[in-house]
Amino acid sequence: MHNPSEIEKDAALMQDVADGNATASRLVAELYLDGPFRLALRILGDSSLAEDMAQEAFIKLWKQAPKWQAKAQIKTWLHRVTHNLCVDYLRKQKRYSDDEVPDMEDTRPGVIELKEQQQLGDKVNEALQMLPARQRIAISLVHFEEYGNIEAAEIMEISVDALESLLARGRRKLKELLMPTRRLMDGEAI
Amino acid sequence: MKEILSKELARFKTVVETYGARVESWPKADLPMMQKLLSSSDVARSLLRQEAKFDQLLSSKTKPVVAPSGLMGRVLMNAEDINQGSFLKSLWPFGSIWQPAAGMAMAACIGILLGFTSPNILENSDDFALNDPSFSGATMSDLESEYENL
Repeated sequence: MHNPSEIEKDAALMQDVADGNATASRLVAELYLDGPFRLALRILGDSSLAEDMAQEAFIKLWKQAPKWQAKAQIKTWLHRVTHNLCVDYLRKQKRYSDDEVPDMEDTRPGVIELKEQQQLGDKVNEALQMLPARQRIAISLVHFEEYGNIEAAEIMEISVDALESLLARGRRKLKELLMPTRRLMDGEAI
Repeated sequence: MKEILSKELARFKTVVETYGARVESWPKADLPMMQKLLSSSDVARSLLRQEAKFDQLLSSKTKPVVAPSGLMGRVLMNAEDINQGSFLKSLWPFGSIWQPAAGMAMAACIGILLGFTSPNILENSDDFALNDPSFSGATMSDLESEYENL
């Protein structure tokens, strides 16, 4: 996903931003604001906190504009900064650890109760929030933001092997948590 | 041969269970082996189908998440406050400043060059006034007599 032409294009855009070109700033925000907001929302599970993190990431981006070098894509840079901001926040809250979520009391249907009126997407988000932070971040980057393993590992500042381990454990746990939902999807009676 | 196949199948399983069924997510180094197994092994295809189902559960019904419009407004205000552009930019907001600056410098150079090279009009006009026969020594009475002769 390191695309040289995209990197060059982004650098030109950032030059315009540094020159105070409002159209360029708007274009950057329109293209890239959703990603950091989405990532922060998945990591923190709170919309207003996610807004704060995404805004903070963009403030850093605007400040970086005059010094911007054609070395990275804006999207990747923003995700890295958002990731770091969220991790700092979780650390302050003492919520950033690799500890597994306490084992579910019961993995039979009903642990995550399938209320008919709730959206399936809410169930997925709920299950995602039950994962340890680093597994949640790894899955958000690779599955939802569609980063390759190398870039995702770079954003998280870990090795590719460590990323694989987080992904494998995270997906396994998600499968357990979403078992009732999967059965429902498969048309089995719960 | 069997051992290699089972090793490859084990790696295939690890990859799909780690990265899901989306080929684009798979590590590039594993791609040839993964493709080969997909075309030759029923077990591999079955593993992929299982993971594809789970991927679908993760993605299909999740509502697209977009940033709220209020956040967009705040972010744009921040941009305006932080990058106001240079003073020169505020004087000439229409593009590169070097173009009008070069135009003005060129005009100044041409002006100076003309000033040095063209004849001195004031000096010449003085000469002309001195050489003008009307003022070359004729007196008022000469002029009056000329008028009377008319």
